[in-house]
Amino acid sequence: MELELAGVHHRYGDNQSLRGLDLRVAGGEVHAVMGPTGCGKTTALRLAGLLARPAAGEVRFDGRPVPAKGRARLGARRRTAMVHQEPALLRGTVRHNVAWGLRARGVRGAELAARTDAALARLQLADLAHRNHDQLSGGERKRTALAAALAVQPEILLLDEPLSSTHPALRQRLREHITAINRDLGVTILVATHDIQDALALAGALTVMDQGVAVQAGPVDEVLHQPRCAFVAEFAGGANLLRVDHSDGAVCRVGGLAIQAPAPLAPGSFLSIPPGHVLIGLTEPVTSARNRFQGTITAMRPFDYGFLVTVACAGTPIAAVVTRGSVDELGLVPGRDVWLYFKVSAVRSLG
Amino acid sequence: MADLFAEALRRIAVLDREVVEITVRTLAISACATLVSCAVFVPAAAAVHFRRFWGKNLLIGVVQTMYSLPTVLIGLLVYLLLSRSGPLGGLGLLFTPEAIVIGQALLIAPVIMGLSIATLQGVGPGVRDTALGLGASHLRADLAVILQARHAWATVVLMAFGRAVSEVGVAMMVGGNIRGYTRTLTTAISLGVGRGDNAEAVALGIMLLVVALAVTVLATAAGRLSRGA
Amino acid sequence: MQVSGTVRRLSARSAARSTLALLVFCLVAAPALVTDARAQTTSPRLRVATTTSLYDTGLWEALEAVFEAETAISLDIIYAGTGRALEWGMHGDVDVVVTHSRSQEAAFVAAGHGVERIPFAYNHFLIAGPAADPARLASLEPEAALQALHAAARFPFVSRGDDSGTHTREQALWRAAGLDPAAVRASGRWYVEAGLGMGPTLAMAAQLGAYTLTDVGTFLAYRHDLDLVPIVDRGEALRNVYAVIVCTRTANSAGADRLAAFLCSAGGQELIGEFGREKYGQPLFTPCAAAGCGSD
Repeated sequence: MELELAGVHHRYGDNQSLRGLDLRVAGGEVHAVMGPTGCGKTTALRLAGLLARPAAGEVRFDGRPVPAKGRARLGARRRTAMVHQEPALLRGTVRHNVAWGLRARGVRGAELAARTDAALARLQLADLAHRNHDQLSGGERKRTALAAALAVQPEILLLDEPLSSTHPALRQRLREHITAINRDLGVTILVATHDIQDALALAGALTVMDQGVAVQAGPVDEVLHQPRCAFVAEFAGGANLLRVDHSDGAVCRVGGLAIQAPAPLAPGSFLSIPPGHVLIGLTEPVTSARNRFQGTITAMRPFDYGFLVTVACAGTPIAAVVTRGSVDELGLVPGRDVWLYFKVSAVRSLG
Repeated sequence: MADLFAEALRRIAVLDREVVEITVRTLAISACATLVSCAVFVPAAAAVHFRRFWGKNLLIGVVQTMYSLPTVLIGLLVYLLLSRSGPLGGLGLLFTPEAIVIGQALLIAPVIMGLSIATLQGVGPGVRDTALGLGASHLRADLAVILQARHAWATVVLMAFGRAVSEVGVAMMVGGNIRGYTRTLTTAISLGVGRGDNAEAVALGIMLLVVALAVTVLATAAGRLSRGA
Repeated sequence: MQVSGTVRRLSARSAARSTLALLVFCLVAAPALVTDARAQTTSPRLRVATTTSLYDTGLWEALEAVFEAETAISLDIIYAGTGRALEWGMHGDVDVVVTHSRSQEAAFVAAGHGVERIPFAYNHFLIAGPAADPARLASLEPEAALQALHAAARFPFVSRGDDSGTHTREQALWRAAGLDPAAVRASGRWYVEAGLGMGPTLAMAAQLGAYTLTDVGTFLAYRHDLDLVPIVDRGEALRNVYAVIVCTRTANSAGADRLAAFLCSAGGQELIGEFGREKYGQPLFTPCAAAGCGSD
């Protein structure tokens, strides 16, 4: 199902939580909506799940506005299923919870049993089916809630911070479950998260939100590697956001570094160098890249498909994404002296 | 004091027919009142809890204030209602057991409503959200919240019953303590006290506690059964 | 796993269903349980309002048994202070009132709430007090006794303080003694307004070593438990006349008339005249329907 929030406004008491949000989720994709706490992601999800009404703007399923009330609206709501952050389970067994949505729709007998079993199996809960709701670990609770949402076979699955407060092993498992759901069943998924790693792992498309509006939207790669503003760049993490002290023509002075940009930049403005475009070498590189600096590796952390390696060049930290293979091959460790280089075209100017 | 209790226990052991009749009547009236009042005011509490409207907190405050209404005052109000010269006089309900049921039902209504709202508030918003997120209608989601607090409802019913069975003001004013017809344990105790028959009063008081104990045990057992489910 | 879950669900559901059935049964059956067989007669019920002090003597239990056997009319005896009993009659909530306060009863009939005031028995009030009789009231007439109490203003006196027949008589006595009841109330801490029934009032008087006005029936009932003795029990002013009045708003005037007739009948009068002998050692009432009950 294709979901669209068109110019929606929403308010909680005195708090204006959404101010004209535009969000478009294509059918069959996994779409992440990302932003800091309080930006309105949960509200956006609730509006998408028809749990709340926008003060202005429209919610559209497959291009058509959703019904305003009555049985038609309930029918539209039932095309979605939502898993809340820290989901509350209903009193009863795991099986009772997973079957609940079906029972609420009047499904009974063999069909009820079959669909419940299928959902339990997919989330590997078959052994826990008879366990009571208050005897489950955090991970088991999340999986139960997910299975319950799955059992009703929604056209779109709405997940609010599904991976929050999970330890790494569980996080990995849940990521796999979610990805498999989209891949095997073709269910559109809208995920709200504040963690860029989760967005990268799960989603194909991304909308970044700040204070109730969408700041940038598009395929994940494009948003992260071509941030249109400082906020997105910052939020995407590892953006290499640097402030220009002053520039000599196209050469910008940033701290102790002279960075060549495609065009002159005003003093006080920001430039960004996507870490994916930064290379690391052990010896002085002989390449067409105009920007080459020496530095020492200060930090390394897992990122996306490899590592984010931060190198301090004349006091200014610049990060590069390096594959595991390369990290091993080059023997990159914190404290190692390396060369860092990138092309002029990699330098982006931001406001 | 000791011989007083001895005499009281002796009278109970004899199992006087009238005492048994009074006890059964007391139980039936208060149970009836509790059931009727719950049937009306638990849904009312749900309606208040689940909807947003202006003056909601004010209403809840008023309900909680009414916990402290003296039973005699409520008895007077119901008397004025049911009196032949009152608005519902034509029903001829005054000085009947049904009048006591009505009076007690009104007496415990604030308790039921207030405790029910507190019970529902105790469930937290997560359960309703979960239900709605799985495609339940609003009514079905409300029901899910109500069921989530399963074992707490036993407490609500118990407290309401306790207040009904132990009150004397309403039973006296609208029942009249008519021997063989509207005499309850509490009004009989009151009569015993007024007449100076302390042993009778204490004996009846013990019977009242036995009734209350039986109901408590039943409700607790029911609560434990549902918790297992 | 699945089977046991189903079984548990089934039994929970059937448990819920049977609880619901039980509840419905209770709701329907409870009213039946609530009245006893005797009360469920098809004949109309006759409601009688009487005063607490008369009720407490137990006379009505004796009368009820005989009357119901003779006439097959179910009697509902309800009691309260005289004021409240007459209010019930005024509203039409009861069919007959039997009280002992001439002035209030006369006003009741004059206002059209009652058909006729028919006195049928009397006993007397008495002033009870501590055996030591510190105020030296024993040989006095009631009015003089009250005057002495008021003048001394230091021997405690407990008053009913409610709208009861006893209280009304007390106020009449103060007036007969030449004193304004309201002034007496305000004249000092020796005058205690209890606001209780007669029994508890006597108990309080005994505790305080005080004097109090009481009807003879209640006094005899409590006499063994309390350190009170009759101090002043002579005098026309203490005569306590009981009267029956049929309420004009009754829906059962036939039954009401029969009760009034019964109280004044030879059988009824004899019953009343003998009542109390075994319980108190002496009869509690003097029947007077035929001979006249004197002025009070």
